[in-house]
Amino acid sequence: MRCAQRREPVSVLDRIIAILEVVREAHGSTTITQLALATDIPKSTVSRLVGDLVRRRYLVRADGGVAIGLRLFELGARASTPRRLGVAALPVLAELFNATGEHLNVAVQEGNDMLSVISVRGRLRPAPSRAGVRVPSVTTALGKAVLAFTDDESVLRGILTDLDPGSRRLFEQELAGVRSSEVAIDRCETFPGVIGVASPVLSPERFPLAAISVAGPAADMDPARIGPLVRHAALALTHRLALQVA
Amino acid sequence: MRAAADADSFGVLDRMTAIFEAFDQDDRGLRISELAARAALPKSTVSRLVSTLVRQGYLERDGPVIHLGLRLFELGQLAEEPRELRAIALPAIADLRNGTGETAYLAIRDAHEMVCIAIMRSHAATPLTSRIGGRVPVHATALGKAMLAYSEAGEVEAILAEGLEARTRQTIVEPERLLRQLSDIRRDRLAVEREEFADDISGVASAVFSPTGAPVAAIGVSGRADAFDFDLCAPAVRTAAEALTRRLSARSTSPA
Repeated sequence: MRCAQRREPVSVLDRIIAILEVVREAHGSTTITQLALATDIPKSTVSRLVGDLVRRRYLVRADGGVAIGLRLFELGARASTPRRLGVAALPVLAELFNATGEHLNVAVQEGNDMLSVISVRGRLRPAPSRAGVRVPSVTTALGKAVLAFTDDESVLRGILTDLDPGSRRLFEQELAGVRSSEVAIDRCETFPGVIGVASPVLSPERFPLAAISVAGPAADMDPARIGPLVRHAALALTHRLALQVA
Repeated sequence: MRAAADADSFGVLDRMTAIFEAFDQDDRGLRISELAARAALPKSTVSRLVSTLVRQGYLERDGPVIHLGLRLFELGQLAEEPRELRAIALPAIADLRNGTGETAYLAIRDAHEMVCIAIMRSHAATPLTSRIGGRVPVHATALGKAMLAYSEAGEVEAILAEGLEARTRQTIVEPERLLRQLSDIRRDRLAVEREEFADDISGVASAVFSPTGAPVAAIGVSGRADAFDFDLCAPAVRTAAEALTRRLSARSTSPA
């Protein structure tokens, strides 16, 4: 009993987070039954926790289930990293957009994915990504730009072990190339017909903070022309972030 | 047993909420002790919850300082209502900003407050009255009044019953005066704010309707009171709201 009492608050928080994670992955509305199945929490408990989360506006009832609520929108708009990157990146993105007219993203690493924090829609339709959306690190230009400089060995190792030996060698060579050119390319590896070109935004210690990318239809995207533009934009963003801290 | 478990789950949720809400709009990080003071919780409770929330990405630790985390941003971007409305409204908001030269806002109502879901700043250095995700009171803003004018009588009564807080000397605090204004707003399809929310800031707004005729959002502009051109902004805002209402209904009838 004493033990249960001590552990209860932590486990309640873990359960709340587990529920929010399933709603996030559902990309739409989720039912209580689906939540109970996915989280392995008894349905009656899920139902009670969801009621509390709806009352607190973390979730909202929609289409026979629940979806992300307004409080998360408000809190998310105040989150530090996207705000800081957004303030620093807007003039840089405006310039890059004038030069390319293509789809732009600024993204940060989240596990094995890259999470877009700012997205500017170009000619590419439907746009493959927008703010708040994840794309896989292993195939995207954004991901490769960050992986080439990452100090997070566990992520890199996890991604490499998923590849067969031949692809692993090629991928390591590709990352070595990115380290010297500071430009990464996705040649239709993630979205058919879409070429992405990205460059890392590095800290003064040369750890990757984010990456900036241009994506467009393969027929119009010349990486040799776009590469220097993206590299320039990433350097400009690096300088602006350094000024922000100072 | 049951009651105790219920109380506890709500307790955890309330403590988590108190911690999140301790962070304000200015994005200044907080130390554990500041966080505990603002959330009115014991330091030991705050540090235990913070370590779980940091591990899950809901908070971020930068040395001794805690910030709101990336996972909250990711979840927030998934909130459907703001996301869809924003995507549909951005061209109308841009036109409105460019046509009036003032800062344009799009907001939805949540009980007695409006939540700003999109903002486009004017080129002039007018101070922002809210930020994306920020809240402003319904009764003291053109955005709020524009929507309130079309809300159900019960909802209007609930807001009047809560009391109309004076934000400036110009805020409407008398229920009868607010009700009269709401009927003017229905007649003119336009709500006006004259330094009622912030000194030296005036604005106009109009409601946007769903295909079923329910008010879903308000769109408006605001700027410096001494230079605010009502004759220019009023028709521009009405046109923007009508365009947005039409886009919403066109989208609901077009095949997916």
